[in-house]
Amino acid sequence: MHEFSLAKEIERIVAETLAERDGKLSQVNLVVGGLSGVLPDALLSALEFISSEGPLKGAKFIIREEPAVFTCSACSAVTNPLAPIFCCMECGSVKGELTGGTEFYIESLEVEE
Amino acid sequence: MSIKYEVMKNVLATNRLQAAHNRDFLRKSKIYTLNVMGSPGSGKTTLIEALIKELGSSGKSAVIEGDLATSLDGERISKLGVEVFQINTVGACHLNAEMIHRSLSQMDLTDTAFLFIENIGNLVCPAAYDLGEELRMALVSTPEGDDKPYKYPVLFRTADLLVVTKADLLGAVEFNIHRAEDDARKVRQDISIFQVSAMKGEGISELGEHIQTQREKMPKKFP
Repeated sequence: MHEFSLAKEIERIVAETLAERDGKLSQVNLVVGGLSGVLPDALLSALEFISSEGPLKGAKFIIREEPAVFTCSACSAVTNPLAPIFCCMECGSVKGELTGGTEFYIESLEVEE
Repeated sequence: MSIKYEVMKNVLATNRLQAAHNRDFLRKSKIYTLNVMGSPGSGKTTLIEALIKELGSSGKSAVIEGDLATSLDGERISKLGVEVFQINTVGACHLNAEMIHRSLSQMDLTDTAFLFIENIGNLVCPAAYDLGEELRMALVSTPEGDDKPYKYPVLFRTADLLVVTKADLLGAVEFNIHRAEDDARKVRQDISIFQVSAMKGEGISELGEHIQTQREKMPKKFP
């Protein structure tokens, strides 16, 4: 539900980045972790809605989803646990750390010259 | 021709920066800040009222009330004679660090020891926003059901504290306290868990004591 605020923040960052560069924005590449609390579909709808005008006008949005990554301190395995329970998928231990899945960033922009 | 520019910017970076600024200000002012999260009706306002009374002997409290609309909760709390600032998000589903910053600048926080931030009733969106708090408290009331930590792991993973509210109804409603606690610990190993009934006053002194102990450990500045 907060994806609209996030889309507005993406618009602001894109405008800031484009201010220093020439060309027409064609694509925005985003990375969304499975534990970031961001719903990719809802974010896409919000981006499509606000891109009818302004800095994002005419751009295409590509979202790469990253799974949760659990690094186990019992058996050292690095696995992708499924929410809601974050544990090692090899040995089942809950001792360890989530080392991925919370990311949410703009990876790159593509512009047409 | 198409050219690709690397950006690598976190979308929430601005919020994190603002949250860090809030945290620095609050620590320097010796104000221990709690972000209170939970569903609508989970008992956030009632718990805050009970904690203000419980902690009264150790210091003054202040409250930032987040609501979509209305100032009903703010009016309730101001009856306790504490500083209250009401934020109306006009439909937005969460508070962010910028809203807290704006509120802080308009509040009288002289001699304030505890600041409670009552977030919007929602178990999804507040998870993504750091407000500059020291303690993130997530509430689950017994009538809501014991499956909430399991169903909303992203939010409970960010919580330092799980408070099971309306514990006086255990037995009257279907709520397996062991299931809720086990699931919460699977979502976050080091989560602290308390059972309270704010209306009956049960468990409030234990929770108050925990908050006091945590406050004594608060660093003097950020980071």
